Amino acid sequence: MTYRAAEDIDLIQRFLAGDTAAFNQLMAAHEDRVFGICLRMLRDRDAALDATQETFLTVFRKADRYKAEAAFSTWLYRVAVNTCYDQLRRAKRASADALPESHDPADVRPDDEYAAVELRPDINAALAQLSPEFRAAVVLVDLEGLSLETAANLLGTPVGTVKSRVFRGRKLLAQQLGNLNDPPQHPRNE
Amino acid sequence: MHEHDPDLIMALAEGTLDASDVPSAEAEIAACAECSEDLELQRLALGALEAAPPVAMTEMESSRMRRTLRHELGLVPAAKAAKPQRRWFPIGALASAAALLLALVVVGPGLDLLGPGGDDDVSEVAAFSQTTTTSAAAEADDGAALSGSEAPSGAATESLEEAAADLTTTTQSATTTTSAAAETTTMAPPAAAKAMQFSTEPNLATLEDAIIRLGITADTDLAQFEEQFRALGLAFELATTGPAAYTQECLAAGVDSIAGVTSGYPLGETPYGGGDGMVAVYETETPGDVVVAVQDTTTCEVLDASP
Repeated sequence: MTYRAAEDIDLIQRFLAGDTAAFNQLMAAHEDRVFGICLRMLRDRDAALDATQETFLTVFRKADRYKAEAAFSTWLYRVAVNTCYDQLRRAKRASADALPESHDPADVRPDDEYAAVELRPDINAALAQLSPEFRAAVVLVDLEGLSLETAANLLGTPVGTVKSRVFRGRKLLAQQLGNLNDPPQHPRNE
Repeated sequence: MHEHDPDLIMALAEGTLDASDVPSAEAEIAACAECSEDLELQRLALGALEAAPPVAMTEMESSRMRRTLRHELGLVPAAKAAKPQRRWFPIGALASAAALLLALVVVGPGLDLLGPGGDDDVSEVAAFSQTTTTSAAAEADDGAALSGSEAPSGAATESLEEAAADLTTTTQSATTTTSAAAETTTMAPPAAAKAMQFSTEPNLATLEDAIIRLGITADTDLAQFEEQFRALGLAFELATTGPAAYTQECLAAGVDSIAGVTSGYPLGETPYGGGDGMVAVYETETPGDVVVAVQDTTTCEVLDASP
């Protein structure tokens, strides 16, 4: 068990005993990473802040159920990813509901649902083209630096599946970046 | 025909392959067009991802989120939960005042403090009394701070005056001196409170200037000044949605703690020292003269104040 994992267990126990300082320490230790995952998954700052808050609310409300069999951070990040999946589903439904009857779905780019974030625009646009599952794998492993095993644990999938998603996700990302870097070939209407 | 091996391609792209295995791996991949293309794409993606800047919440976002969570989770700060009721009658202050009066009654005549020296002597006694009684007031305030008082602002001073007044009625020989002492105590802030008045935060001076320039008072609708405050470019959020639950208690604590202020109103919020900060404006007896302070939203402690 790492020092961080052991400290998290201690902090959770203190939090459950009513120590509000433990709450602050847990937040300080994890909030940026949770926010990073959410921002890269959702690509919108406000949505990411909402998801981060919802994640911590869920985790703190269910803290008494934490069994310390897995690292607290793994549980926390799993809740974060699931919260992001939920938000993406809700956004997709809301977007579909808002479409007028004559709307052509081909006109909708995936990143229309959210405003741009501070990732480099080309990376952001390329990530936006990935399915949530591929995006989660790439974000967790390549952007958040989690091991394949940790990512697999928190995503609830075999390591091989995560590895495959990372490989294919990177490939799609690179192809998107290539497309984005090419100058547009639209005919001019002059 | 060479086999397409994603694991090998990933390992080569990530640089995690043993150095001794790299030449053979590169040779194998070079012999496979699909493998070569995938290796290039993996490297391209990794390079772009590594160049992505880290993301983090701003202090303001973090502060706001923690506050919301504390509220949602019903977390009560320990300092507030453990607060006992303040003693209405400050025994420490009363004891100090009584000791003072006793000294005056017993020793005073020998020193001719109330002799024909007239006004000058009374002033001298008042100054002496101020020092002693101010210490009592500071002691009372310190006690309140330690016990987490929720008493209204100025309660320590008022109670002290009441105590002094009571003694005045029962100790006829010291009436003049006691009144002078009580009056002087009311006018001068406690030494402990003065020591808290400091300023390390340049934002506060800027905010103070803006408040004076814009003519903001407790009755101002702050929403109309959002643009002006935003233009200051400070890590500060104007309170436009009404005061939070902790506000009144913190304002009372601010009036207790900051020298020379009479009343306060909330201006907004700012990150401070890794935690939350309530920015409040305190008015003084001089019209237009204000003190801008930052207070911990959990303990209400005054963290900083404009000079």
